[in-house]
Amino acid sequence: MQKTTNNSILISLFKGLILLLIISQAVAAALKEIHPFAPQPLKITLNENTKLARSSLSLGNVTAFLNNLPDVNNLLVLRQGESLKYTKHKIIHAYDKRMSRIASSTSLLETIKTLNELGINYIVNTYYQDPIILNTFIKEIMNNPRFSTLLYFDEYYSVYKISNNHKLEKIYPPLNLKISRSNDLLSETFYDAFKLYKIKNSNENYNYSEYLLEIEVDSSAITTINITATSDHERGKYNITAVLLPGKNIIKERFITSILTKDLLFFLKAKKKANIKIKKALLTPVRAYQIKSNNIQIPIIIEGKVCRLDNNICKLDELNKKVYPEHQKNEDVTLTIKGAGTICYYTKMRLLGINLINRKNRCVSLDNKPLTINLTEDQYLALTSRDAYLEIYEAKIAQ
Amino acid sequence: MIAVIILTLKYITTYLLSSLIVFHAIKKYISSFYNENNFIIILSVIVGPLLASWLFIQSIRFFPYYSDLTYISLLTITALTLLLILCPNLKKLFPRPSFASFQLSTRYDKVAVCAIVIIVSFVFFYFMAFSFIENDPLDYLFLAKLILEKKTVDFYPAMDGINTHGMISPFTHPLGFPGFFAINMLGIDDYNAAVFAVKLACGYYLIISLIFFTHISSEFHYSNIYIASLIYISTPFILLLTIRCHIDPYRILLFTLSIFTAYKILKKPTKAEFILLGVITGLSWFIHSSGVLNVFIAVGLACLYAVFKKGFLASIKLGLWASLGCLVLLTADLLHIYKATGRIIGDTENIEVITLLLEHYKNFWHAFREIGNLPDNLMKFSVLFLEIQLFGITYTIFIIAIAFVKVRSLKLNDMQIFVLLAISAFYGIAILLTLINVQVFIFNPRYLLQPIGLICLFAATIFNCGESRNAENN
Repeated sequence: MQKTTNNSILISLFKGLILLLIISQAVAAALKEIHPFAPQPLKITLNENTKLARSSLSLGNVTAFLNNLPDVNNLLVLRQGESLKYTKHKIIHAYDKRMSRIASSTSLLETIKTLNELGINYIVNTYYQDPIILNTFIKEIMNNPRFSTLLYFDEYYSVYKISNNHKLEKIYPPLNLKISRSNDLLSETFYDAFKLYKIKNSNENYNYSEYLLEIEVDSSAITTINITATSDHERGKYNITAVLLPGKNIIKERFITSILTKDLLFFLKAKKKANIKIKKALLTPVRAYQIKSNNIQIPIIIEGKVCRLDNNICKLDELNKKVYPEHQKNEDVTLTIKGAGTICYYTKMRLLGINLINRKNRCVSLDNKPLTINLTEDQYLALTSRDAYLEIYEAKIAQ
Repeated sequence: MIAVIILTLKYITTYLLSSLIVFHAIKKYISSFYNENNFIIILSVIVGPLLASWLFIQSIRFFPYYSDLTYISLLTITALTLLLILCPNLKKLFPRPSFASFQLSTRYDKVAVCAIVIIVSFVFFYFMAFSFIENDPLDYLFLAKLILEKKTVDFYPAMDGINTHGMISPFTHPLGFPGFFAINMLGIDDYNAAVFAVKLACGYYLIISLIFFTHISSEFHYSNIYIASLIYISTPFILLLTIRCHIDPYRILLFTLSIFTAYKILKKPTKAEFILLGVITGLSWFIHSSGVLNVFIAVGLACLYAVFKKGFLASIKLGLWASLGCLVLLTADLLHIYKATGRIIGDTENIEVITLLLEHYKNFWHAFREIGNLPDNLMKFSVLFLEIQLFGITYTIFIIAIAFVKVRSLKLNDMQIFVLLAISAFYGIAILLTLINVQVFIFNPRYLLQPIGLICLFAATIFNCGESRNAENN
């Protein structure tokens, strides 16, 4: 009798545990989908566009970016559903029958000619390297500043404008990246993992360029290699997944400046069985912005994106957007600003590198007169009153 | 005001009249389902709206370029005529379901129902607060928009995007799923509202699926009838695919329905029963090419059982009747697809860019999807147990349930044995095709999901151990 009771208790416990696990997996999946800590406000609405950024930050950002481009003729896309629903531009899918000419093209110039004939002047690429991009001359067009400009780059998407101005850009010397094995125990257990460090460069010009990352890697098998660009400050992560074939592989990827902070590193990992070896890693500046002594020298970031300069002035009129200079570790930055309305200073409160809360420090009224302010490493600015605007003229390391 | 009336008419026709037609047709012609009112009602509300979208697509195919109102009127008049033929006595128009088998009796059921209500509420909240973002459903959504905009289906399959705003659709799937989206969007001018109508339709099918699994659990004589539905909707992949209005929940539902219909018609395997099975499996194929498997598995198993009851030749004849029921739905679509692509089932073979860069694509899939040599390919089946973030513990519970049955020497009923046979048939075919280097099942873990409805139903067996529903009721 006692045994039967014990058994029934055990069975009840077992069923309870299974039920708990079943419900927990649903809760975990639901939380993963609604990302409760996302900074965007939740909007209950029928308008699919209004809630897009909350649903997918990357798709929301790239869509907003694309919809602001004034001169799009045809976008070449890999994901047509997203583009057809959320962008206002005409598209050509990478698998469109008309793209067969690109797939069978035998030269770069022929590919450019075909793209022109198809009216494609922008390419929206994804983090995965589809062969129609990777194994045709499109990849070369995307990597070469003579033929394209990299306008947008984030974790999932990159946007290139195909240029018809093929004049030769200035060639800058490449920087050798320091290669080291990852010391991350978890990664080392399951992957061949490496870190590539950017070596501090004495030429300040290079801090403001687009870069071409070039990695030579030997692999013993077909596998994917995941390249993540990240920094100690975790401002953003950028992923590229490339395919490695057995033998020598050369991976070329173009990166935009906003992620190339001083403490940047590239983290590479491939399946252990592929037994990869990194032979060489170069970072070549491919386009430099001209820097004048009295203008902005440190790029200004607005909500994770480099502020587009208008006559060398970074302008902002949107409320509550985080404005901060590109990170300079352990160094304050002096900004020369002008504007109207109220601007507030916020400090990020961190614990073990994780940003816990943003504390408002103080607010200043702007009255259209130039003002010099200092920002520490963990501070940012945001406009907080209606009709406020801000112009940043200069950003330098504080003396 | 007129728009509201037209829209109401459309909804009544699509969801109510179509279901009533199926219900009365089954009542009239199918004798196997005698005394199975609940099953017929559930079958009708699943099949009815999909048949309405089939009729809508065929109307556009054969009578193109008319207005929304014309198509809604045509559908309504057809539905009313059929209904009056099938059920001239209007007093008996609405069926009366029995709710006795849905009673809450155990504490586990109470917890499960609470969880199900919260999860379903979450799904509707998600529809309101989040956008349609998954690329594949967005493709179908745009196809539906094109169908309504052009009022023809001649552009499909589209190998280039010259006449379709850039959209390509080099698929061999019949137009069932975009057609279902289109009928839900029909008569709604505002695109955002039309998208919400599609989301509501997804919510409708979620609720019907859960009711269906609960009903089957009661037929399995489970003590906890709501557990199977909870396991189903709690599987992370299913929840994810449901909130994103993916096609898979429909494929899963129709596969499950095909199998149970196949089982039930075996009580009295006649021509009418097999035509019904053919129509259901045909609808599965109409929704997605993978439905061809339903034809093989559901009709195949039914024919196999029929051999023992009626002999070999009679069984072949019944199989042919089922095929006829299936082909009636599919002929127009398949002919059109064959004309455009040169095949009736295919995928990447239709894309010229891929065929031109085939070696590169093979390497790409080998690396990205880890498809390549045989051991790697077979290892892909382990995702069912190892990719917890997608499949959760559903397949693990299923294995535990089988072990429970074995260890405790539980006696399975015929229906459970039939379910196990269907699951074995699906994964048997999947493994066999993988062994002969056909990689369709391992290309995407979603393709392995089709029998998950049956898996959940069997997995719920472990909650049946040591308890009797009647005992607790008493």
